[in-house]
Amino acid sequence: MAKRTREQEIVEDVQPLKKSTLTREQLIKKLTKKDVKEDSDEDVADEPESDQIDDDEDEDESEGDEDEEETNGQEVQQSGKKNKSALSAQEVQIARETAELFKSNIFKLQIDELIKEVKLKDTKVAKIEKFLHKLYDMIQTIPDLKEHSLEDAELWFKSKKTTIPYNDPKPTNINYKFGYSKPENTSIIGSFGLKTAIQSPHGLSIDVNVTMPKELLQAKDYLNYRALHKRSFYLGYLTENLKTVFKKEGLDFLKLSYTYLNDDILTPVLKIQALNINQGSEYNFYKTKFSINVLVGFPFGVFDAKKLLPNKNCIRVQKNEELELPPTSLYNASILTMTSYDQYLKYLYKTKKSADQFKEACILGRLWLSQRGLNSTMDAGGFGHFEFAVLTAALLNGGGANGNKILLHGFSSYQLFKGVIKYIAEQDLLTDGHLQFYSDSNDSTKYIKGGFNTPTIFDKSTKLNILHKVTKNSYTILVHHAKKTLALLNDVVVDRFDSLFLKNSNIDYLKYDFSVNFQLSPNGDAAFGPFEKITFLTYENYIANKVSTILRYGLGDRVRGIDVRFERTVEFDTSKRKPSSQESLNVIVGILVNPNEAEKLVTKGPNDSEDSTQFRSFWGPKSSLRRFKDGNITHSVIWSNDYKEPIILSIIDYILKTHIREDLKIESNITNINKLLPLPNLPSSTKQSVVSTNSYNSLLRSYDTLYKILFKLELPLSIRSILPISPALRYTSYLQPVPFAVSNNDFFNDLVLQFETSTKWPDEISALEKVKTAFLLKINEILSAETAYKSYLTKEENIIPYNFDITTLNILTPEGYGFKLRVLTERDETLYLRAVGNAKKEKKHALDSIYFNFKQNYQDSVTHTRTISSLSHQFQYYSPTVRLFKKWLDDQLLLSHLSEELVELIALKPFVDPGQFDVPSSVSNGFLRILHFISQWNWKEEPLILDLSKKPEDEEEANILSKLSDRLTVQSHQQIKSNFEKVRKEDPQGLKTQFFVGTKLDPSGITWSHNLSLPIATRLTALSKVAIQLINNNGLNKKTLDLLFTPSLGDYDFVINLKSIPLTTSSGILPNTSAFKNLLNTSNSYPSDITSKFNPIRKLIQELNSKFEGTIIFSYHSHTLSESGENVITGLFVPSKLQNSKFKVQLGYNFEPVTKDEVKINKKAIFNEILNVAGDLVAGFQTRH
Amino acid sequence: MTTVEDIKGFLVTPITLQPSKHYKEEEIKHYIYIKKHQSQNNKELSERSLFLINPPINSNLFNVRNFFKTISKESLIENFLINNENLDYEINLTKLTTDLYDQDENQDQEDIKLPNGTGLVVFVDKSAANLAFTKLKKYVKNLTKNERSLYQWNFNELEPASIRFINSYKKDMLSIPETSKAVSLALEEFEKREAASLEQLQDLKETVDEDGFTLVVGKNRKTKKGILENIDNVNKFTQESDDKKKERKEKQDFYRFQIRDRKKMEMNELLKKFREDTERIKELKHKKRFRPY
Repeated sequence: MAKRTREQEIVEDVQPLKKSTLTREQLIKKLTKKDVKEDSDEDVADEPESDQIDDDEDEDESEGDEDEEETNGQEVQQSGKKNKSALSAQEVQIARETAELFKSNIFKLQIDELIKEVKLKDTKVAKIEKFLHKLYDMIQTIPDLKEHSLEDAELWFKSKKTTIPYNDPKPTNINYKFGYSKPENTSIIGSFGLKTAIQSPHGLSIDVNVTMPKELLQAKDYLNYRALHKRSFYLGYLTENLKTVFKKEGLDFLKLSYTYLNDDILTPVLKIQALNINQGSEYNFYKTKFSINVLVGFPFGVFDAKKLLPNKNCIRVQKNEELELPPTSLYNASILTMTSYDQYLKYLYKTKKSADQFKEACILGRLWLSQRGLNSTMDAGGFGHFEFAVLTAALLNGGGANGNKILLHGFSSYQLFKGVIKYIAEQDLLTDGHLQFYSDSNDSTKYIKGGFNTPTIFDKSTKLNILHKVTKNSYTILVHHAKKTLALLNDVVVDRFDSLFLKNSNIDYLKYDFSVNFQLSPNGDAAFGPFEKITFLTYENYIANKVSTILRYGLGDRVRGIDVRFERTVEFDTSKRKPSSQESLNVIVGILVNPNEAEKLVTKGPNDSEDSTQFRSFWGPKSSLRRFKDGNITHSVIWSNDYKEPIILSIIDYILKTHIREDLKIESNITNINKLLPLPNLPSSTKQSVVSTNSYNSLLRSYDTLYKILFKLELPLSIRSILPISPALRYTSYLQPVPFAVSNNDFFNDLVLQFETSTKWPDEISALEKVKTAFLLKINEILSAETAYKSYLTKEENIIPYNFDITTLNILTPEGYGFKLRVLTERDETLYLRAVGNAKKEKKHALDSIYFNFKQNYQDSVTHTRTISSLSHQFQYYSPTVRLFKKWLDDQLLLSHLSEELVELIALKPFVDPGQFDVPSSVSNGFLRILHFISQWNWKEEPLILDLSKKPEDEEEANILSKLSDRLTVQSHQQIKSNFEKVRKEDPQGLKTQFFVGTKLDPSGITWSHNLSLPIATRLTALSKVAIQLINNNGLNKKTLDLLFTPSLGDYDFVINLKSIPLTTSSGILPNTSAFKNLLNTSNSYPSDITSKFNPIRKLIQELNSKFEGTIIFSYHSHTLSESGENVITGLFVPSKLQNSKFKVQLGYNFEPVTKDEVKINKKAIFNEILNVAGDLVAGFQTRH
Repeated sequence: MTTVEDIKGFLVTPITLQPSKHYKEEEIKHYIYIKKHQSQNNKELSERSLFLINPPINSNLFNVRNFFKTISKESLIENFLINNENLDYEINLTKLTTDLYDQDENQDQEDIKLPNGTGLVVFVDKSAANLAFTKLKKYVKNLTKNERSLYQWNFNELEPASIRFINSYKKDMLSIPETSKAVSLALEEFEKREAASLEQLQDLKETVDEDGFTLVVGKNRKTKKGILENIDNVNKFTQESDDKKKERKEKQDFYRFQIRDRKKMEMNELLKKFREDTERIKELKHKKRFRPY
């Protein structure tokens, strides 16, 4: 058992990570191997009985039952049926040791499965290896070339088609010689060499390093591009000769080009690809999708690494001697990298040999990075799988302040991965300290206090900072990713495997709150002088640094992250020295907004007494000295809110124009999206931020006043509570509440009124409703006699089917808002339940749905409103996002089919469960994330489970709250999940229940979605898929947005165009034709006949629905918002009703005879009926045949 | 298309509907299926009624009268019944929540329950109904012989739709005096019934059953059903707590076999879970879920 205990020790010693060390397979292997040896004699014992044990597992498992059991003193009864449950000793052990493991084993199994899935195919590997061997042989045949001067070298290339990929500045007038001789070493490096390579969607590139022989280089060559020029010549010569050899060998399918490795312009490499011709050749690797990069490296240690430390200058620009030259850290790092290709291969290989699961951890890391769009190029963060692997290796050797090990060699792939992620998330490598390790010895890795203000993982052996390509910005983003991932890994409630490894989150419009782009011309930017050139090497690096520095300073904590990227190509033909220079550079700046700070009106600077030069010179004329309420006099900049342009965008626009170029044209789609939201017809609504909730607050004030008045009323029973249940009272109504806007569907805000407990309520529904009415009459009487409130009673037949006695009290407040009171008593529920209990079996279903309706309208909507309004406070961008989502649904004719609550819950998904993304902090991000979610939501198989608890602000609070909070626990999550499974078991195709949205408040999951129909659910999914595809293909621009919000009427069986009824103004919407109209049209009184401003179409739809229920699905824009007042009604025949049917009295739809006993639906007559019902409301009619 | 004049005993009566200017089709035929009404419940009424399937939308006494006037002038119509609301007559919340109305059961049977999309034309007497049906047959015959043209059914809306629907909002508003009157009337009626029921309860209270118990009636609940239901609920509740008590009393780890069994069960549980997980993974793999790209 020696082995077992060793593993056990590890399991126990190692920090208590949730998902334990050993995979089950490992354990089985380890244990069974031994057992096989021991028990090989009594093999094949009693296999067949052991069906409690997994049949898939091989025989080993059931072997050796007896003797192991005895030693364990765990007699398993063998008699009769119990024999079936006989456990083998191994199983018992495995199960015990991995008790922890089993719980989370699903995660492990998923990892194993994933790694299997992405593994390179053996056949492909064999194919490419064949070519690689050939390539190796061919490289060896290249003849040497001795001591060529620059002119000779140029002469040699003159007649050839190949050009030497010299770096800028091209060598001129030099006194060193170029040459070629057999490479010191040719080896496959990188992930392919290490066998951590995986399949990738764009094919994999295999790095082959050709090390230049020592004699071609001199110790001083690291200076002034000398080594690089020699390298370029070497590469050019190699390329030209390879071309000749390839031709000789008949390898005509190869395509050669230069490219910059990791976009580093100092490292041109030769890229070899296979084309889709001459497939017959045994060497053609086109189908493998691989490509080969031939790198040229320097021998390790050929230069004095100390001279190439990040703070040294190695490009001596001829300039004023007295000026101190800036350090050339990027240049230095590039040269050092070229000397250490083989070094790191060895280092990682050694680690792989010593740590069992290192390889798998690297694969996980690689996938994780690629799903987030991170890689070794500077644009994509400079942290790729190489850096991940080196960090993992370094942490296996230490990493703590005293060199204590962060990772242990016995860790599982999962633990290694999590350990690295945790390290990135929690250890500051920027300012607080840096990591130091040795790639050539076993000296331990240490975390050293004191950072360099640039992310640093320093290799003492090669003097290379592994993170040299990681800028401060990229580092922030990397850490941000790691933090989110760590939170996902720590989630014990939900399986996060998908978000961690399977979902691609590298989609601009989903990962940034918004992005800004502009064009820059690299030529003629005078600020890009020689010093900048040697520091940053490229204009892109320079401008990225400049832009991000400016933005970081200017935006401060308004943003959580800034990402600067470019659109450019780095591949170029071998006949060119470098890629053709671009006329203009497209710069994309991705912004992650900090929702708490983003819309603040003031940017504060230093106090009056402090030095303010930097602040004032940065902000220029915008900066002013102001006195604030607290008495401080501070330099500050004042911004103004705007309904469509976020303040961040105004700031970016201002500072980039001030500091980069005045004529910069800064574009962003955020304004186009914000503009889509209907503006309330309120004074200065154009001067409000998109997150402003002023309009809602006025309504809430009005509600408070009414509440107080009603409370004081003298009634036979006193009022216990008046609870809001309308969308506008939870910040989610499609239109913002505007006084006297009676045409708005949400004008009347429903309130549930409850009196103090009484035993006198009648014990019968109709009489109970009558008593409620009596109460409402009384309230009505007092209100009209004693207050300025107007009110009237209405009959409500649609709240609960078959309850025809419900009345509500409609109250018009003097401030211009409408409320609708309905009464709830403690008897109601009992009575409805009694009705369910007393119903006949065949009517049970109908009665259930009546009870459901009651629960929805009187109870669940109260808790829903409470939850949503508290979440709206927490997520500033939720309210506008949900409004835009409702607009989209209504524009697509879907809103009338969905309950507002369901829409709001679905819209919450990206906010409460952002997964691999962030909580949306812009309307655009929120909206698109919702669409993206729906487009991917396979509701037939997955429930949507939301944790609606309020997230604690900080960790301390989290600890206190952890026990009190109403967070979703594992149990409740399981409960909801099993509810879903039950629902699906009964209804696997989703004919009855489509969307299952479970929360702690509603574990049933169908409260808000049970009245949906399959065609509507399918249409919603289809539309969101189309929308996402549209954006993916055409980008996010004005045109796509317009398309997104235009319904496709062609999909319906018939379309009725309706007479225009202008209701925009009376719905409280600011006409967007002119921003000045608002003052003209604001009404401040109710119309004399309030019903004249109601939308007749809603009643028409009601009537049509009641007549054609089950036969036709009618859709319309529930809000008539187009300024001209146009609307449409579309109809879709329920497919099952279109087939011929046997004649029956109860068919329930208009039919015509076909034969003696068969009939079919009479569409023409139906159209005629509908048009007659709609009468003069119709303006046109189309049908498709 | 061959014309079908009769389908399952129903006379197939084609008519044409009032045309709409937005939908121009040559000839839109609408079919009403008519039969003499047969019903066990109310012989007298059914003898003088015709049963209609698929009357045009929003049919009312007025346009039904118009139709029959053209077909058979002499047949006077007394009433036209239709299920307009598309409702299930068997669901009555009042009856389902109280037994106060149980005694009315017989009365209800006389109500005519029409399925959705059907109507009943009630004539003044049997002969009028018979005559109308004969004339209808003739109408259909003449149509097939092309001796007369289709009857055009007019909807005769009194007001244009735009006004009608706005007005229907107005109709939802209740008149205060009328409502108060109706409410007090209904409540009075309810109280009367309740009082009667209370009396009944009083009797119940006084009767001693065979085991020598009497029913205890609280002062708050006034109907038999209400009380019986409460008793049911109480029973359910007490049973549950009994079960719980029993559970607690038994010691779970007294005998070695208990401990062993439990351990074994735990093991099996773990293994079962593991197997389930493996199954799930297999299934997921089958669905190609592990493709990261």
